[in-house]
Amino acid sequence: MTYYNLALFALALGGLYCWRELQASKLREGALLERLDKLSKEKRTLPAVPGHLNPHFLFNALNTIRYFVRTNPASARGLLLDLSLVLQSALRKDGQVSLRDELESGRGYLRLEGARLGPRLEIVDTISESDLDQLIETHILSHLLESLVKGVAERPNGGVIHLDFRNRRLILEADGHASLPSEVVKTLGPNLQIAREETTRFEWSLEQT
Amino acid sequence: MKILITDDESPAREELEFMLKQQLPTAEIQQACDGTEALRRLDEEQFDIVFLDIQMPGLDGLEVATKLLEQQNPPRIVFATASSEHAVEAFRLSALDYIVKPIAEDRLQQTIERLQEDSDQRDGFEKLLWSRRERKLWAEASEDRWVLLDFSDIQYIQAQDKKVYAATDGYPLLRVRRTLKELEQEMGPQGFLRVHKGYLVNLRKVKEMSAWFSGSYTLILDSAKKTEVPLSRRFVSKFREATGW
Repeated sequence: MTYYNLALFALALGGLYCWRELQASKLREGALLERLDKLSKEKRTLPAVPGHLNPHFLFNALNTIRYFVRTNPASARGLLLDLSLVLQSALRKDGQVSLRDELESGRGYLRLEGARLGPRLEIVDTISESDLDQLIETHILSHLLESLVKGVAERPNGGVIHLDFRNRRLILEADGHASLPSEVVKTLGPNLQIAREETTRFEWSLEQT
Repeated sequence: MKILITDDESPAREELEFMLKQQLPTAEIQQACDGTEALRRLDEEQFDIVFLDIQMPGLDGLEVATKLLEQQNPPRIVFATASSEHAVEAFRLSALDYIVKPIAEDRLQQTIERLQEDSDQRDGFEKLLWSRRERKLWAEASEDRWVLLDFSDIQYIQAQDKKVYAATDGYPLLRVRRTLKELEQEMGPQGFLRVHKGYLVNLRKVKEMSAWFSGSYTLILDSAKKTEVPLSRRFVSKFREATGW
């Protein structure tokens, strides 16, 4: 009798434990699903900026390189490398990449535009080579630079583009009026500050990653 | 041939100039680095062709073309740009051609051929204008001698066996290398009237008229030879109208 009672008790205890575990796991699953749902919603409000290549830029760059092939082959070779950096960057998957990599293709882009626009485009680049391992969203930098170059090129006498990186903030400033695609503005949200006067100034504060 | 290249990018200007020089070694080529400079240059001197980039600071290529078309004798316009998005608008501005950079040699050659055809046509047009203004006409006195006739010296123009002749008082019939139709258009405003399938008469020279048969007449001109020109029935009413008969 005692054994029988004991066995029954143990069984009941075991059942109770299993039920609790089941409930708990259900709860955990629910929480997980909820979190996933929240994450995906967050993702929907932060659209990725797709890689892009302005065809006008591409054909103008090819035309410029063609001129240098004839007049200055060494420059032409350099510009072809710059073009391949720009293409690599445009073909990068959406996501994150090191500031160093994005800056390398961004500088290539600026050299190509500099070759095309001549003395009308001046670049002042004071970004030091340290502290560039930080990850940033892909394609954003190319959008920022493209809009600044456009703003400068619209001015008959051209202008200067400044590049700086201080206190985890990438600071880009140029003469002229530069406008950004809305998806870039949306993606960076409060991390991008825009100031427009005689110049256009973008301050992109890079989040801790 | 005088050519103006308009582009805000120096490599693009230089490259186009290099290619044009290869195909047109005798052409005089100048460069303008934006739309405003192009208009100033075109205002100062006459160019045959202007190559226009579209995206430029200040006045863009389409605006330059629009302003050029308001002028009396605009140069021919060729757009040279990195994208084809403005092609329709460019042709609405009566551009002669629209080429996309980078420009291939044979594509530029097509443009040049198009330019040459167009300038032949313009030359023909200018010839027409000159003779209309000066009221003169070249005629052949013999195989190697030509006479520049004043319209007022011509009594009539005659077409015969697909050849055209001018009749004057001082010369025998002189061959004219033009068609009767062309001459009718050109000399009509100067008092010449078609009076017969094969005759254009200088109305100032008509002196007398006599009935011929079935509604046609003979015109007798004021000349020593009393030259006669037929007036066919088909043209009688026009002749009546013109002479107040």
